[in-house]
Amino acid sequence: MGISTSDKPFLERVEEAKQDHFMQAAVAKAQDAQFIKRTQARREMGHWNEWRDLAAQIRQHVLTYLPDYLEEFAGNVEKKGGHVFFAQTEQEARDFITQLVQKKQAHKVVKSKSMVTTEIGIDKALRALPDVDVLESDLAEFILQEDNFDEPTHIVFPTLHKNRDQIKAEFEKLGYQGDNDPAHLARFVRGYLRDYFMEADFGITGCNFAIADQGMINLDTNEGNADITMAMPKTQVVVMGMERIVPSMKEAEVLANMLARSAVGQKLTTYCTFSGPKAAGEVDGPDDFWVVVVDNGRSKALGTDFEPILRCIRCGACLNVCPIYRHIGGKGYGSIYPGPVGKVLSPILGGYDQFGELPYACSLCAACTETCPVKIPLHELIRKHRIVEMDEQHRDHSMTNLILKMVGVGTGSPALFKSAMGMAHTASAPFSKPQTAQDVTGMYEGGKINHLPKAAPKLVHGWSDLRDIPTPPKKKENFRHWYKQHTPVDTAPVVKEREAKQDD
Amino acid sequence: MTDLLAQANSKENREQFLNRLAKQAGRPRHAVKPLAPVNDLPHQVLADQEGADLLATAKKNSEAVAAKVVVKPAAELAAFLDQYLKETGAKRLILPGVTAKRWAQYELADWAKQPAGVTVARWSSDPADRRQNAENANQADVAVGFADYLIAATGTITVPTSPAQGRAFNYLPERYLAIVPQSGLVRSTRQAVEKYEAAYQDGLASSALNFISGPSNSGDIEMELVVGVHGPVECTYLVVSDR
Ligand code: SF4
Repeated sequence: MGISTSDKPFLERVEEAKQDHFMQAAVAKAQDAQFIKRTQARREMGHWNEWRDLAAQIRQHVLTYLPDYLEEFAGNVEKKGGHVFFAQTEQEARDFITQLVQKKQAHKVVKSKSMVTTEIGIDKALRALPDVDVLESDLAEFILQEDNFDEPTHIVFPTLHKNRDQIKAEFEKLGYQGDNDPAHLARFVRGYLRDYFMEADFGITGCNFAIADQGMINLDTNEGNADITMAMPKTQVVVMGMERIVPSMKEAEVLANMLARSAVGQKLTTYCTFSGPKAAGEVDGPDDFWVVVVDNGRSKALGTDFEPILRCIRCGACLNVCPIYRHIGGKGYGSIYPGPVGKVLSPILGGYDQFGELPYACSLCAACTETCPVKIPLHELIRKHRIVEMDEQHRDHSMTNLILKMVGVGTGSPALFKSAMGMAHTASAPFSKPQTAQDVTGMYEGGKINHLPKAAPKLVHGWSDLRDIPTPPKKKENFRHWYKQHTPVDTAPVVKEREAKQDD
Repeated sequence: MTDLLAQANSKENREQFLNRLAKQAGRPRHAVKPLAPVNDLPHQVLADQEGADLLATAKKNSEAVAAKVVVKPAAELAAFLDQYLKETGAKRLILPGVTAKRWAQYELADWAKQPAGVTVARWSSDPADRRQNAENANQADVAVGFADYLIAATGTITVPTSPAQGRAFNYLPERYLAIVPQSGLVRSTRQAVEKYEAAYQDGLASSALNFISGPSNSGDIEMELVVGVHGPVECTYLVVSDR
């Protein structure tokens, strides 16, 4: 349950991800393809950075007045005959929906893709009820579900790690008999799900943006499954993260344009729908319309340095530019929110105990910050997590602290520093190897260290495991020694002045 | 277990939640100031285009999302639709449950009475026919419906849900054709949204505004674009040049 997708320790997950070469190739291909599409779509829009200013302003504005906008929204949903429930925890949200399914005596629940419903773990809870079927209708989510609830790899392309043959094999269990052509596979799902849709009596959707002044929700999709989910069942539950709100359709329209361009390089998703409870005279759509507004830890970011992460519109662009994501894929993060957004959000929602390592899986290259359509300073927030973990919560109980303290004492005293420098070469000699012909010229003249015994502290391993350290020079060859022997030349201004005089 | 359903729409549930947020944020409630946008970009989209240029842009952007665009005067619609049904090999057609007057606006009153060569179902606005409507839409090879606007910047048509043209009508049929007047050509999603905001002010009662850009599609399998997933597999905008 919750946002966690794995019980394994972080490094083990990373090790596993490193072995998955299909996934790595697929992620790399996706990142590169999306780069081209996204850049084109943004260029075509023109004034991209000013659009980002506007989008960021809209999102920050609603966060600043969040309770007011939620109140307005709830009031308008009520006026239209709908119901709003505010759930502080995932448990409350889950229990509420479970009770509603029971009360409505629903048997066939259909869902359309939504991160927050995954977050609250609603599928499993409903499936545990007697006589209740739950089916994911988004193609990717359907594939994951049929593969025994495999973990998603990406927030926009959840099945990036699967190839067509694996998908075909899953579908064969459901009676598919065709080849591995994606068009044929998708057509099979269309038929399979259509029959289910026709019988569905309970629909669950997410919400891209809730429209405060209309009491409607906006959903942006390409497949059409969300719209059918809002058409067929007589009961619809919208599950929304409490921050996904905008003042009016005007702001939703801006963000829907930004979202589609950033997520998939389209101008708008194929279906961009503003929807509410069935109106008088209409024949289909939800008679019963419920909205569950979920906090589940989001409020911990309100009023703090981390507040900007709540602007996120879940476009996935930051995943698509992240060099770490490129190598470890979504599963490496162990959270349904992977990539840069996940590195900031997961520790907030799930806590540092479980996700404290994620902020370190980052080179602070800032590519995410640059691409984010709502201008979240992602890399700064990742760094902020590190500061909180180290300076405020003192979470590092390894030798690192002690070692760095000693380093502090050593470098703070000239005498100690001098003697340490003198000993460095001799002390490191047992681990040192001579340079080889393959090494970069001039880099390891004095030898290099590329392996340290297991017993060495974590901090030192961090330096030596992934790169070679040049062996510290002998006392007579170190910088200080060299500098002492060196006859200083005059500084540039002095030289200039002298030359000027000579010219005279 | 406590009865959570009873808490929906209750003041306690809402107030407790919202007060907690306000406290955590350290900002008082009921202090909202209207949004003053930092720029006016939404209104500048395609601001330099109109008339034939704008229609050309709409066409280009619609075709880019795999929608077919056909521009015809009202007098030629009936012949075009007959031809279209023939070409697609459609056997079952679904039409909105609108009055003859509405069809007459597009000179289609006679055509709509009995389109040639197909079995016709009409969307019923009787609530008892919910199931039948859905079945009809599900079995339809083609839906011919009405759209309000064509958005040039994104290649999008907008279709409000109504008693005569419900949600399933727009999403279940195999092929979808929408008749849209050329006077409904707008530049941007912003323009369309503002028109609907005004219409809601004036009493429009539609529960869903559908902005549709081409046929349904997905890139979920190896990111290869597949056209036609859950919604229509083909989508045509029939723009009526003299309406
Ligand atoms: S953090 Fe920004 S770039 Fe990443 S998913 Fe959210 S909105 Fe998109």
